[in-house]
Amino acid sequence: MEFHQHCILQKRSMASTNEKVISSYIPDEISYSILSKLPLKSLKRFKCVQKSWSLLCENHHFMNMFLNRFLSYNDPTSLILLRVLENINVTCEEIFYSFSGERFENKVKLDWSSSLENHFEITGLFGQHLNGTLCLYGDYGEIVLLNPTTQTMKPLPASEAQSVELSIPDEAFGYVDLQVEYCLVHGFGYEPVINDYKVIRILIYNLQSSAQSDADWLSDTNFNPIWEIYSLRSNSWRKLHVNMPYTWECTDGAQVYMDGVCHWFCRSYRNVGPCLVSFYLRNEEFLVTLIPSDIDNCFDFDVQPSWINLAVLNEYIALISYHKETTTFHISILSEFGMKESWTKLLIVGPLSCVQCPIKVGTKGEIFFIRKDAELVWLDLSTQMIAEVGYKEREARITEIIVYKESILPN
Amino acid sequence: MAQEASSSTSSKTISLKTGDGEIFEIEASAAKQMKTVQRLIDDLGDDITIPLHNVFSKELPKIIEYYKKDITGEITKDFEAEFVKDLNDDEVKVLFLAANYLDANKLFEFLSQNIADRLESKSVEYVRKYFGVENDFTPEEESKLREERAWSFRGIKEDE
Repeated sequence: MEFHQHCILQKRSMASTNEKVISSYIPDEISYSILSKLPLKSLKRFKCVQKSWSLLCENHHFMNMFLNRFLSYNDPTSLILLRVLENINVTCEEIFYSFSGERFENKVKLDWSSSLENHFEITGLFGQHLNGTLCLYGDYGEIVLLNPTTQTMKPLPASEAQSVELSIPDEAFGYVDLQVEYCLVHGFGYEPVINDYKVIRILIYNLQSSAQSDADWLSDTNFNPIWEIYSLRSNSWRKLHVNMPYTWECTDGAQVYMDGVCHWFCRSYRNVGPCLVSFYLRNEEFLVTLIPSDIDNCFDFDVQPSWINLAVLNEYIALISYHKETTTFHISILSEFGMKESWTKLLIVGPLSCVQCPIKVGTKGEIFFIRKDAELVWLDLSTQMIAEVGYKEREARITEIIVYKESILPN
Repeated sequence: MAQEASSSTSSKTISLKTGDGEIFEIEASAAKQMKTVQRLIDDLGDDITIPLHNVFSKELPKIIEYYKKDITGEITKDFEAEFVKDLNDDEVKVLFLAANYLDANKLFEFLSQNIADRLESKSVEYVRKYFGVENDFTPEEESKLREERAWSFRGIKEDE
């Protein structure tokens, strides 16, 4: 805190009463201490107060204060679940590690052979986390809820819609086979009012035939992509009657849950550009927030889809993207769902020439990536320091991680 | 005549004199938390009444109350909520400025957060008055800015 010896404090006595009227001016320097603690929406509005305030975001001193406070909130430490798939001679070996501790310094090799074998073939550590529970999904629609601490697993049942396999007689082609081609999980969330966990997914059907106009035919049927929601309490799926943007990619880490709402990133959907979809578990309605290109233009490069992840930062939804050309990470946050104007570019970190490949964002916004020396490292946004996890990639290895927080709710 | 700040026994108190001439006692350990006071003690000695020209009799007792709780480690969220509950925005501002003058960091940080919370839903005009600043935008500039950030004005009552 800066010491201001000359703050102006005037005092006038009212002649009629003995009341003292104090008028005071708050100097810029100390007003920053107040402004840096405001929520983004208020800060943006107060830029209209006076000229110097409209330039606050370009003021390094102010931004340092703001970011320090914004990024250093207290959160329980997180854990990393790491899965390595390694080709050793002719066999494919799968090993799980858990990293815990303030700086992930405790590394434990997990022995899951008994619990996982014959239960579920996790084809990848692809999934989301919530309250210490991981929702993992495979390529063929299999979904399992896993608690790494207790090593308990619950496979989700198939839904009716998912099991559809029809042979439909068709005038032109004899028989046309219809079945689910893709099951894409978009959200894993918690509805606090009824204390229920939910999974949201979309089923995309495929016609097995030589028909050229699959899509047209399909659109006449009840087999448009179908949204489904799973409730843990009822252990069943139910069809959702919504028409929401979905994504083929379901990029690992591009979905996040916060406060009763599941959010996912959609690179493009029909004619809509990059956007954030927010699905409210309470009333099962959704909002779409476009992402303007002046906030993040990494989606403009069609050559190779850029890496993006979503995270929750200080109770805001954050979009974190990696710009390969400049080796920078861009962090933007959203103040109001549905308002594309309320995206704010918070921070650009880099250039970081040591980045080989970004992997995942952690629960506190830390960015995990593989460094050029093959070490798995993480970037702390508040200090901008890079630290090693204590794991090194090797050739012929596939490494996947999920970063999650331990449960704070009773299971 | 400079004296070393004594490693005080718990009964050592310092006398502080406000800008409007009133004298208050504070324990030496609490005085340590107010860097301005400590500096003055270092310069003037702890037996002399320390003059605080820019702090007045309305605010100082409240500040002393805060630090009394601080040295016994009793500052809780409930205490802080209670502390500001009956203060209006201007009263908090005066306390805040006094905390700044006294270089009392903990109180300063707490009050700045409290002020931020109070100002969160306020209008631009209110904030101008509160900070004592002039609107140096032309009407055109201002309306353009407001338009660009229309979303941040939603649900806010533009007032008096």
